Amino acid sequence: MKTGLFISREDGVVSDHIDLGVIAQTYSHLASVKVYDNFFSSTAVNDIREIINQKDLNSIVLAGPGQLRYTGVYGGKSFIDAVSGQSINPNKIAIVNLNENVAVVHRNRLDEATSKASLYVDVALAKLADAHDLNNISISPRKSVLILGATPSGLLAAKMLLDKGYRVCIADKSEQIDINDTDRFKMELTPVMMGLESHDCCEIKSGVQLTDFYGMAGNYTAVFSTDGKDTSISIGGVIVCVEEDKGWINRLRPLLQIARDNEGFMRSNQPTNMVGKTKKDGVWFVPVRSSELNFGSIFSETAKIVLLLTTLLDQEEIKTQLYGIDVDETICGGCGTCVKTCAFSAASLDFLKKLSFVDANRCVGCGNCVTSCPTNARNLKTYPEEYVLKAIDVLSKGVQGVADSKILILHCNGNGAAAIKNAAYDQHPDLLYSPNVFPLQVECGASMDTQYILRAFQKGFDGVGLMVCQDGHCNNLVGNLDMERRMSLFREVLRSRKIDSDRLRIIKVPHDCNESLLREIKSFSDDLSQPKEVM
Amino acid sequence: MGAKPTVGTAWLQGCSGCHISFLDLHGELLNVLDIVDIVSSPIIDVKHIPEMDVGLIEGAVGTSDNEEVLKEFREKAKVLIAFGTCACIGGVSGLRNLFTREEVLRKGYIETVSTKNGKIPVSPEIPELIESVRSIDQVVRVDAYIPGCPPSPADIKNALVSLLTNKEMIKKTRCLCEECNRTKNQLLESKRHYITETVMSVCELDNIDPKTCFLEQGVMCIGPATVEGCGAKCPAANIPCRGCYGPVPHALEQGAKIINALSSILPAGDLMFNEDMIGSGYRYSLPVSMIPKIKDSENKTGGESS
Repeated sequence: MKTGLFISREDGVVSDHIDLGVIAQTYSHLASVKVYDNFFSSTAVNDIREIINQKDLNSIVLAGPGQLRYTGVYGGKSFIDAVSGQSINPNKIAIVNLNENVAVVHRNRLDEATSKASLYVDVALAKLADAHDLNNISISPRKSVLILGATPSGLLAAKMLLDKGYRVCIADKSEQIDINDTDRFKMELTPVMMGLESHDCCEIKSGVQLTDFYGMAGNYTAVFSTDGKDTSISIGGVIVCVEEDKGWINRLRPLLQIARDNEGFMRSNQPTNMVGKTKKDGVWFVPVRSSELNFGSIFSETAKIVLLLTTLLDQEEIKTQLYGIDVDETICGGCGTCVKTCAFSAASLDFLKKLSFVDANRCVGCGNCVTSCPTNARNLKTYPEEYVLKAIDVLSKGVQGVADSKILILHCNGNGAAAIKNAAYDQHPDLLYSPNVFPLQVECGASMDTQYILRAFQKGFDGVGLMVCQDGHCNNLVGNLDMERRMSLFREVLRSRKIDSDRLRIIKVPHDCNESLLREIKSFSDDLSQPKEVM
Repeated sequence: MGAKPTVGTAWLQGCSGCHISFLDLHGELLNVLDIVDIVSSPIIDVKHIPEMDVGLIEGAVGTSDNEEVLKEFREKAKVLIAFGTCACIGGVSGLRNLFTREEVLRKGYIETVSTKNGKIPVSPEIPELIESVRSIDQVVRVDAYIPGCPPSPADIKNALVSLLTNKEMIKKTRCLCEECNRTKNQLLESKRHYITETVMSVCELDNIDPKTCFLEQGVMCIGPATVEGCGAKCPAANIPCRGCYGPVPHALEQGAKIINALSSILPAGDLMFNEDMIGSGYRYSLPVSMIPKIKDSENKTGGESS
């Protein structure tokens, strides 16, 4: 394996608090090591590409910005695409957050931060060693869109799409879809409605419920039922325009993986710069509540979303990464556990062959089936089990010179990663977590295997924290729930080994409040340093 | 004299059931004795340990005497086989790893109900109870494994014959569901829900359906986390699997795995209150699990098995 380690000074944020000279020296044995002021410049990108070609690298570590700077921002992904090009599989790129998770949170602690940075680079190298290539599939996108909700934004979206040459299906649960005299936007919407009703490429379904949804961006299947009868349509993408209807949002959540805010309204996956985004590519929502806005605002919000969706579907081809669940046919005995665990109905069993399968059209890659599989027949390509165990081994060494309790915090790559990252910016120096607190990213609460916890305690961690989303907010619907179910049984295992069950703590990701997360970690740390009676 | 391969056996911390199973070959024992010479064994009452081609060790390592005998067998035998579940993965006596030596000795010699004025024996002639029970491969190198509590007579014979005819012993990799003939219905439906409302032990069922998967009847079966090879005899006899063949080779251990699996498909609350998850999940495999014993008094967790 030929690996390159590329480090970003983050314009001083990282280099001021981590001795990059030591890091470069420590990893000088790799095929290539180089430091840049900042990754997001064309000089840096071109330079990295040049090195990848010259040294024939097949894997790289990008140490500097956290993952959310690549996946959580508009345009961030283009850096990864530009750098990896044709030669590096996306799963052979390991990202180390030297910024928030080392430099910022451990600011002014140079030696400790440097030592910790090195541990995380080792973890990244372990990831590359165990990573399997991710497969992708090319789809020629359908130029058709499903619009859920014949609301003002829904009707506007329909017209905008039809004007762009798309076919549209508007589906609403009400039997009656029309503009009546009491409608606030009667004047503005009547001509729109008329245009839709008379358009050949527009289908209006009234009195229907969406009951099933699967597929990939550019080729989705939506199933509706009316009076027990099912009809299905094939579309390239979806725009959810249900606006304020919380009941409807609740029913759509398991089908479309829509995130919600505290009040139960739809919330974007990337709220700071990509409004209206859901976890599924090609599924968007219009973030308006018509009751609160004037028509002009509704119009522009809708137009934004139509632009974003059609940018995707206007392409000749969409390359989608297939979620990586591997099933080893020589190990799977067909017990059926994965079938009953999957919240997305993506696991099925061939009873005659006694083998389980993954439906790529439904799988979201949360890893729940991997955790529940009692034979280890399944593995998650993005965070393979061998890798997580190695990462735990590496981090269990702790930071040299720090006597604080060693705590491993497993967190998901969505809300959990964001919360840990944001917490680093807290201004109370006494609240910042100790260098011996090690966040380790996994896919989701669903992939928090009890075996990881056993490994952590076996290797000398004093405590393990499991960070998951609040009830009802898990992006993968049941990750937090299943984790809690497993842990409530698992605590008995800890007690049987005379390990105080309080050494395992579930930490719920707070909503937009760094301080409460830090306080929880601090209280966990404090509890661990109190000598306790052996149970 | 024609040199027949020589076989020796020993029982360490075990119940002798594996040896009894061997004797259960009955008439076929004579065929076995045609092709091997048993040179040392509790069943032929030879107490010294000579050089031998094959050594069969039943039982786990739980006392200082077990360690001595095992090490001598390893020196004298060309091929050493872990014979039975206790030798392979520690077995039932491994559960004592959840207590300290002192607690175990006190319970055994003083606190048992029928004991009056008990005393823990101390004498240089009595083997010492070692700190924790171990499988034999945690002490010496092992060349092959015959799991089972006990392994069936046929399994034992086949293993010996394969060994002596240099046939490769196939390593099984799937779980017991592969061999079990019980049918699944609910488990085939790609829908997420608990497959039963309650969890019960098999004798609490009004009717034990002989054809349907035990999990679908609300009865905990360790089959999904147990390696195949036994032919699923227990489920065929209307008893759920207890995991005696040990964990599937790719799993890190049985206990955590069965918890991960069952908490999705059986009501977790019921599992917690009605079942002994530790006793069920680690009944045979505690010594080879990820944390094979309780943490010692220096607050260190039960470390890796060396």
